[in-house]
Amino acid sequence: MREPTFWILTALAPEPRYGYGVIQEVTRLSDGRITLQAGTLYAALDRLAALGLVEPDREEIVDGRPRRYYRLTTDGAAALDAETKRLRASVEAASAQLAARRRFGLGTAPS
Amino acid sequence: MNLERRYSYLLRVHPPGPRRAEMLATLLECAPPERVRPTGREIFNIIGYGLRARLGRPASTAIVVLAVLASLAAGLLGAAVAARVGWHYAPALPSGAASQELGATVFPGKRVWGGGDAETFVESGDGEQTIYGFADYWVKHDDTTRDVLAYAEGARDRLAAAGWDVHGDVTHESEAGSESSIDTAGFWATRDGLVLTYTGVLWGERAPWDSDGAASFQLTRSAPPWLATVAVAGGLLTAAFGWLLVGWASRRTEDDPARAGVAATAGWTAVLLTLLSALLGGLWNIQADRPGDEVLWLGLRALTGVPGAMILGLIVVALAAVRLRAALPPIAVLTCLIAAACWHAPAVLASCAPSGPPADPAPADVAHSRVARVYITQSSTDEQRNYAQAAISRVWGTISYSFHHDPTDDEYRWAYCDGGDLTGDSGMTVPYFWEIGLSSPGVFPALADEVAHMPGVVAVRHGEEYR
Repeated sequence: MREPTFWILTALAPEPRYGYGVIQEVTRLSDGRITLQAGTLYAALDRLAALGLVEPDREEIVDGRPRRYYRLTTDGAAALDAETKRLRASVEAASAQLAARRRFGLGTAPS
Repeated sequence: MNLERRYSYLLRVHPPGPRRAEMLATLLECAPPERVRPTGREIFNIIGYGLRARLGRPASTAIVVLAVLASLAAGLLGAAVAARVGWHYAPALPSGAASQELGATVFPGKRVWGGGDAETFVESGDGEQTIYGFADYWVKHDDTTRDVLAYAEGARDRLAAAGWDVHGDVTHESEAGSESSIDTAGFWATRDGLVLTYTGVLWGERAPWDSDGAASFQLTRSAPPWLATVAVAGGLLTAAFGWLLVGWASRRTEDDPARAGVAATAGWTAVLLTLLSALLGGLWNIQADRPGDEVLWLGLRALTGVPGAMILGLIVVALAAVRLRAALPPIAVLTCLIAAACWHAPAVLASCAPSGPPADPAPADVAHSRVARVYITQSSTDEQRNYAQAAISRVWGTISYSFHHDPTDDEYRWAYCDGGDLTGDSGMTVPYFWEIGLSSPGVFPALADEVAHMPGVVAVRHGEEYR
């Protein structure tokens, strides 16, 4: 799973959001590391919808402009869960290796 | 133009639909108040993903691969058509004073034969390849040119002094065969859109009536500089069209696997056939001692022949699978192309009753013709015919000849009646003739000079190419 995909699923996990809402939420959750471009977002949403991981929720008109909300499906939640477990396993493996490095007195990575 | 208008304009890259308005709202919400035009990154992002969105099937990688290859193939086809049209306007090979000056540079103080113009492309002697059309220039051997290596080196130096770019060294091969030795020397050079390939040949132990070779060169064109621009422009235009066409077919058949399957199969075959034809057309024609860009132009040219018609046929099938009506324009193009290739003017094939050799053709009709005929009276003796035939084969630029004395031969119709039938028994009384293949159109005067005054010969005519 590519990083934008992971963050989009993460942003949609608790509640449905519309385009700009997803972009804002991803920026907030990633501490400003990830700024999604509109093209990237909608291409990913199209792909995730085709794979059945997200689906349109509802549409609102605000200030004369359409806002279409998207929500995570059950499959989407399962995919995010599986990816989270995979990432956690990776993080734990790397942490264990770094701990071993400290035990051998090779110093720690600067934090 | 304000930011909203600029975004709307960019969003036209995306397929029509509510998504454009949705993205516009998102883009405007993301934009800080001071922004008046899209950033470079935004432009790149919107166009890139817009082109992807045009293909539909958001989860498919195969459609992207097909679209990329189809664009490449469509670009090649467009470049091939543009180049074919462009070659039509390529400058003629030198004639008149320019031709004489070149001949005098390579062969100073000698009687130079050949020269003149030629078609841009011709079939190679064995008919298996398309090659650049060329003009043969040569001098008959004398004591200086029989030293083929020294004379080739002299010619190279004279060309270099005249501003020609000489490529590589003079190659020299001396072969003492069992019956006849062969001594050859050659090099190639370029200048001002012309490619000159020099060859000096000396055959040893020849009969006194045979030629012992010649010092010669062949002159071809290079692609004019503007032709690359024309081809690239044509290619880019059709590449974009190819992308849009794949997108249209993909989105239209998204819910119809059967139609999509037929269209994809025909589409993939057309793409692979295009890439393969261009590649093989180029590779098949690679020659060590020629400019490298010729491979490219010959590869493109290979696409406009029979493979081009087959590719167009496959495109028709693919389009018809998507939507029957969409196949009509390419069907019309294909029909016109086949009709143009197969249609013959029936009036040309009128019958006639010749009483002697045909009149000289108009020079314009035979300017590019590589066919000639030598007519000899029926009362000529065997010996006279042998002499005439030896004279024909002595000419450096004759590559084939055949003798015809039977009026029922097909060749009689072309030699006497422009392809029409000979009426009555007129064929029984007219002169016999040789039909001769010339290496290049400018060889004809040399043939006439060599043969016209032989006993029994009544006419030497530059013939029109068969239609």
